[in-house]
Amino acid sequence: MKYISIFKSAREVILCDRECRNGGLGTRIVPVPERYSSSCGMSVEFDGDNKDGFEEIVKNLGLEVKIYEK
Amino acid sequence: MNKEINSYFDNAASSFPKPIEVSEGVRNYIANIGGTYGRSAHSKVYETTSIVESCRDMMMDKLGATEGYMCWAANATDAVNILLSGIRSTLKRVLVTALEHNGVMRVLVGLNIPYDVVAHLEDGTVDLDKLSEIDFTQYSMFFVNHQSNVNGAVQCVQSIKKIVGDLPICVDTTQSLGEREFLASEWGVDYAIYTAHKALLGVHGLGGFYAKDISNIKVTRFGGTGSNSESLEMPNFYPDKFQCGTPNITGIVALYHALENVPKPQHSFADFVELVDGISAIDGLVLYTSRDYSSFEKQGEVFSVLYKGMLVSELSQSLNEKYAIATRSGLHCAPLAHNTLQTIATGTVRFSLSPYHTKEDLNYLYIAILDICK
Repeated sequence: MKYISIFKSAREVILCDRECRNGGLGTRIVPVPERYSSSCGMSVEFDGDNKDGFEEIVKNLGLEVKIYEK
Repeated sequence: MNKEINSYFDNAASSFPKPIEVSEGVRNYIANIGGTYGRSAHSKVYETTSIVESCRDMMMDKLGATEGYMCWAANATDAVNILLSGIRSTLKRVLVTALEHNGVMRVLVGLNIPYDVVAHLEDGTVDLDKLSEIDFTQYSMFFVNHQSNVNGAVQCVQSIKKIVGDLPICVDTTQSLGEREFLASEWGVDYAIYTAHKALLGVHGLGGFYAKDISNIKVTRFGGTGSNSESLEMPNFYPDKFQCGTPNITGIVALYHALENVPKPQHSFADFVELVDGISAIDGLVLYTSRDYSSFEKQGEVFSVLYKGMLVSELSQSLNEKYAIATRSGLHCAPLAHNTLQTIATGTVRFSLSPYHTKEDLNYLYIAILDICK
């Protein structure tokens, strides 16, 4: 299972992805799927095994995120 | 002229040279990276967006900001325009120091924001004793030019903020940031303005503002951001709220490399003081500095002069033609400061240093001035 996370801004994508990489949590930057948003920016994809760790990182950064199953 | 001499003394207008990594970094970005900010999700966009956001965080560190926000602008004046247009409705009357630059003053006048100039000492710095007598409830903001671009006098931001208390202060760091420490959070600074191409050693076309709080700043510029693309309205979140259109990525790349490669000064402050000591002893020459140019806390590495019987344009031209020395003559876009220093009718010749100047460069300048002013 893979998840797609959508942030408000490109800055938040970078902040989250940077923290994930620093913590050894694998991510992939992909375009925001149009079924979730008409934003023309980036979203962060991650494996289901990492969902708890990902959510912890987002929480620690104080970011708002929407997470969807891919 | 000896080619090894650095005879560029116009760093307050724009710094030269830059760290070599700045030009190499910009070239690498243009030749090998490319990509824009926050639109699409390919690797070039990711790398570019990452550089922009890393540079934003580095600027927050440079500003000594442990909280708050940093927004890009085209230059310091543009940043003042964005900021003041956004909070115009909250500004009833403001205070300014006697050394403000037109980058602030023309915006105040242009937006019809009434102002009062605070009492000052002979060098234009704030008279802290008289400042404490002001009824601050009559004012909405205090504009403080951190380091004068005319005489190099440095305002003690920390002391000013302690006196004005809850009155928000907006500090113009155009001449100081990169040359001296700035501690926005520790000093209680509410807003700060900066430019990239002076002491920060970046390039033209980039500046920005720091704000402790952006919730009260209205958006006055509109356009695409890469986010909320389904909406015709601007996003209300940071940083997109203040980032319409593509930012000056090339300028940000340059600033990123400048901040990563801050040069070690090749002369000491004592060398600067020795230079000014020498110049001040020249007969017929009037020197404009802070009241104590031997104190790093009070004096930046910029100063002005007048020489009897010679127009400032003539002195500047002579230095350039005979010694290839670059200076600036005239009013330095700061008529308020020149009124304060009583040089509005004449202007001054301004000398401004770079961390790349060596003691030999300073000696070269001294000998040149001594030769022309004899």
